[in-house]
Amino acid sequence: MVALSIDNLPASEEELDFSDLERRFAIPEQEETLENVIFVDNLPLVEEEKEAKLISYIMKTLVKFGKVKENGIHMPKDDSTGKVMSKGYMFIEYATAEQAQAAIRGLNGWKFDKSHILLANRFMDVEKYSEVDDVYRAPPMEAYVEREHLRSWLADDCGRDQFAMYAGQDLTVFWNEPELPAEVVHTRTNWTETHVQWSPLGSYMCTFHRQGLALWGGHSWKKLMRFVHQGVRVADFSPSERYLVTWASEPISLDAVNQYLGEGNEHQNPYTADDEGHTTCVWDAYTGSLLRSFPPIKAEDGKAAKASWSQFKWSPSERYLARMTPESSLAIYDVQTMGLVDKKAMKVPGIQDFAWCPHTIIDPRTNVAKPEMIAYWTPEEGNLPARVSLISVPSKTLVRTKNLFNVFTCALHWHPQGQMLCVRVQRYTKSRKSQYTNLEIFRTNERDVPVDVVELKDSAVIFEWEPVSENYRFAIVHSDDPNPPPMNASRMATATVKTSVSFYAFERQGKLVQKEGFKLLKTLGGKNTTNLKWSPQGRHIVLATLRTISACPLEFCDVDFDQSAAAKSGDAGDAITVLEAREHYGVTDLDWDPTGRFVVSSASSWRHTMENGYVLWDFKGQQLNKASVDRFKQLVWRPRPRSLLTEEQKREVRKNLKDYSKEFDEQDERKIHAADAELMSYRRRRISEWVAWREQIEAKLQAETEEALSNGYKLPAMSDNEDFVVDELVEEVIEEKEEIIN
Amino acid sequence: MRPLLLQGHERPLTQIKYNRDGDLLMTVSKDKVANLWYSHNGEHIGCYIGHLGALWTIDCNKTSTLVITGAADNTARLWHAETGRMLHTWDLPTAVKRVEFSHDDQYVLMVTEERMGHKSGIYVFAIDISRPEQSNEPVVILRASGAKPTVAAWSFLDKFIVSGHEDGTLSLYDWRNEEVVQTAKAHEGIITDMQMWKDGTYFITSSRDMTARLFETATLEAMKEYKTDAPLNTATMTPTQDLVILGGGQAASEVTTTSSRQGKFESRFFHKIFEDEVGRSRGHFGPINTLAVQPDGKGFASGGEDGLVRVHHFDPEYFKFKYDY
Repeated sequence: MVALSIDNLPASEEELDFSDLERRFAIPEQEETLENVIFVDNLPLVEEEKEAKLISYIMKTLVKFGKVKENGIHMPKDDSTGKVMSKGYMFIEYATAEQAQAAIRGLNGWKFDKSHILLANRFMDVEKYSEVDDVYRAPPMEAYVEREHLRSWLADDCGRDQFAMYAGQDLTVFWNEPELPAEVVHTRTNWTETHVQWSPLGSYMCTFHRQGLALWGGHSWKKLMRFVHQGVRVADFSPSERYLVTWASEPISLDAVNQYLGEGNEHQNPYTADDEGHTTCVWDAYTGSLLRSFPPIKAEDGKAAKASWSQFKWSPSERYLARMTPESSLAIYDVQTMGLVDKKAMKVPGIQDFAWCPHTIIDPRTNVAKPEMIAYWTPEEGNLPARVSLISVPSKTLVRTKNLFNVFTCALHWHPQGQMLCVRVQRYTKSRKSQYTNLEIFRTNERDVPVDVVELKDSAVIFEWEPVSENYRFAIVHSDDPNPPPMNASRMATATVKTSVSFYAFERQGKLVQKEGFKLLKTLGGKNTTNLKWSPQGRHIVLATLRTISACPLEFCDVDFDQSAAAKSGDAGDAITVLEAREHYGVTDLDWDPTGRFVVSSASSWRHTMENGYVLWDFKGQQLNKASVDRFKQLVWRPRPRSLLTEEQKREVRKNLKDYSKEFDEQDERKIHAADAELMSYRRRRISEWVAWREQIEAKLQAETEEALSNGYKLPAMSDNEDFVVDELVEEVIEEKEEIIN
Repeated sequence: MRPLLLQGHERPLTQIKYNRDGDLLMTVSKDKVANLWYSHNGEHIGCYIGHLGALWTIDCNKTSTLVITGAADNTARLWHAETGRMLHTWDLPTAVKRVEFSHDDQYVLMVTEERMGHKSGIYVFAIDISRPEQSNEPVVILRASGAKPTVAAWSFLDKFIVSGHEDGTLSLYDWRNEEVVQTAKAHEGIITDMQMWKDGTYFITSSRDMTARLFETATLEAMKEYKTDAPLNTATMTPTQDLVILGGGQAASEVTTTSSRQGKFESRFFHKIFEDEVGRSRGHFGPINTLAVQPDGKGFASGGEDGLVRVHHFDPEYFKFKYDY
């Protein structure tokens, strides 16, 4: 075509050649789509006469899913045998593809009658799968990429611990330095969008984003894995970090995920149509694959129940994942297959809460791991008492139950080593006017599971087992008022509550069963403690008043301090001593390092904006370091994996501790010296700079002053009496006499 | 260090100053009264009464014979220090925010507010010490080209006048020739206070941008920076010990229901050379508006939005304190 120009304009409009435009903007002819056609198989074979009857019968079901097009049913027939018979399948054309989709979901597996279970498929799929090549082509092997050592941080020369701090938009991993400012390991801005979390053994750092979560670790802090889960809020790792459960407040939407991944990346989408609308996902942390997703638990009114993530709990061996549907059932999944154990969930009407025994116990005689255990409780219902039950998994046999009366609520506290379970039972008095607490302690490791009861006069609000100890010590915070204090908008308590802290221990005197049980060691009264934090190594505990506007005490306690006093009086309670009472203004969180040597108390800007930052204490309560950090949000210690040393080896280390510590002390000393020297030389430099500048300025001023004075400038004279005398009249009464004058 | 509490004002303090000898303390507040106190025991000597509006500023000459005050009633007044007799009134177009005697006591500078169509300016008047009446004709009026000046001070030998402005800039004027010699961007926010070292060779500024800085007068070169977490109203330097004291806190209008701790109403001590915070002094329950150090370095006074003046005399430990280097 000749290009249009001013010289060869066509004579009339008809002569204009629009063909290029027509080609460009032509509407492609609507392709006949068969997305709305489904294919139903396994129908009964019928004669021609009965065809209408069958169709009209099946039609009743078909219209439930949508509108079937007129003449939209086609049933092929066969007359090869002489008799016209249907072939047992039919094609159904719906008005839209969505209706067809719904019909497939509804019809597939539908029991038409006793011997006919229908199979429904998309018509397009029949074509698609018949075109699949019969020759198997192996997918290309992906090159092996070596992973970095995920535990390299444990090989630090000084055995230091790491922590992650989130402040402002920056997430930073530090080495903890007790005597010096913490040393930065790695830092990034906008590394996480909401908060940061470590996996339970410290291998991964988990960051949360709008589109999902990411795991980081290794020496170079590379991204190790990402999990697409939009709006993710919470992640819960299995105890050995192999799996994780994530929960988002919004339902999964396939389209939204595809949109995020971008065109051409749909194969990266972990979800299928079955996952649509679900909120909880179970992942393999190592491969990043989705194992299963779960829909939100629906409350009776059809709305999603709140916080459904806490209803998932991992067994300590991470072989099982239990999921509670409040008030109705407990489902236990085998993680290998993600199928239900015994193919069905346990019906537990009224179930309120459950907890796995946190530790797999090895039977010392047979050296075989004992079956895992779950404890759960159900409230009073009509004439039935409230009940705490222990079942073993996977057999689901009942190990022990106990009936309880006048129960307001229960809380389950397993001892971290799994040998004891304390059920903190909040009970009504007979008049139902007030409440008090019973501690029902199940010795789950012993035959027949004996139960010890500790009756309190008031209400225990906090219960904490000492993590490591031989006599199962625990501490409670108890108070006359079981209700939490009033809180402001950012959940800081606006008033204190009078509380006491008590310590108990299990005692066995002689061999008599009557003489064993839990005994009160000591009560520390007149406190307003809200939280108890045991050292992960036991023995030391911090009594803290957290998230309270008007009070901020931290008390560092040693429960084995005064051994000699305890031995003298024969009362273990006398050993309990408050080593230091400290304060950290505005404290919101308290966290022990994994070795139990340090405690960090922090004031987070999530709660308030006063003096945000953290303080590092040693276990005795000596302040080592204080950092005020603008817009400080969170500080979390990197957990350590379980020790690989045997008990004997540990004992050996403890015995030779002095030799080891000498070495480390020297190291510390050198480091402090080096840092001191550096600081000193820095300061000296600044001082000498300042002095040099002053000398120069003063010399200049001197010259200028002389010049100015010679030009008639006059400075007022200093007052001559440098030391001035201040007269003060002091009157003193020497004598007082009273005279009566007539 | 138990402070003396001077309860002579009913409204927020605006400025406090020691005389050169350090035996007297002058305080002004928004309640129209200027007070004079003995600094060593806090005994009240008397008031300078006559202003009709809130007082913003006060200064006295080196020999402590004359006192000048500036107020929101658009006047600056000269007083006989000892008797409290009013000697002279300067009528200015707007409120007087800052007055200061020159080092040779021959001049006084006045910073006026920008209001009601009147440009702000720095007025310099000559002072004739021999008679009460003073000339109403300023020697010069310095007009800023940019944002209005908020504070000003005399340089060494009264060669220059340095002014701090609302937008955080500093200007160095050769005031006799009405010429700007140097400008510098000092702060991100309004400059709230400026105090000269005794010889006028460097000075400290404070700003609402939560920092205080040290500048060399002749070059306006920034030398040190002191960072805090609260907006600052005032900054001063101690003559011995190499410390600076900063005061401020959340503006009263921004404080809702806060404890005094939350408002950060503390005097903060920083090391002048290392820029490290070394201590704090609590007590006020409102923002600190003004700080002054006794010229011999033995104490300091703070005036707050709460209407109180706290006069501190340092403990012996303070003088033993020595930074390691």
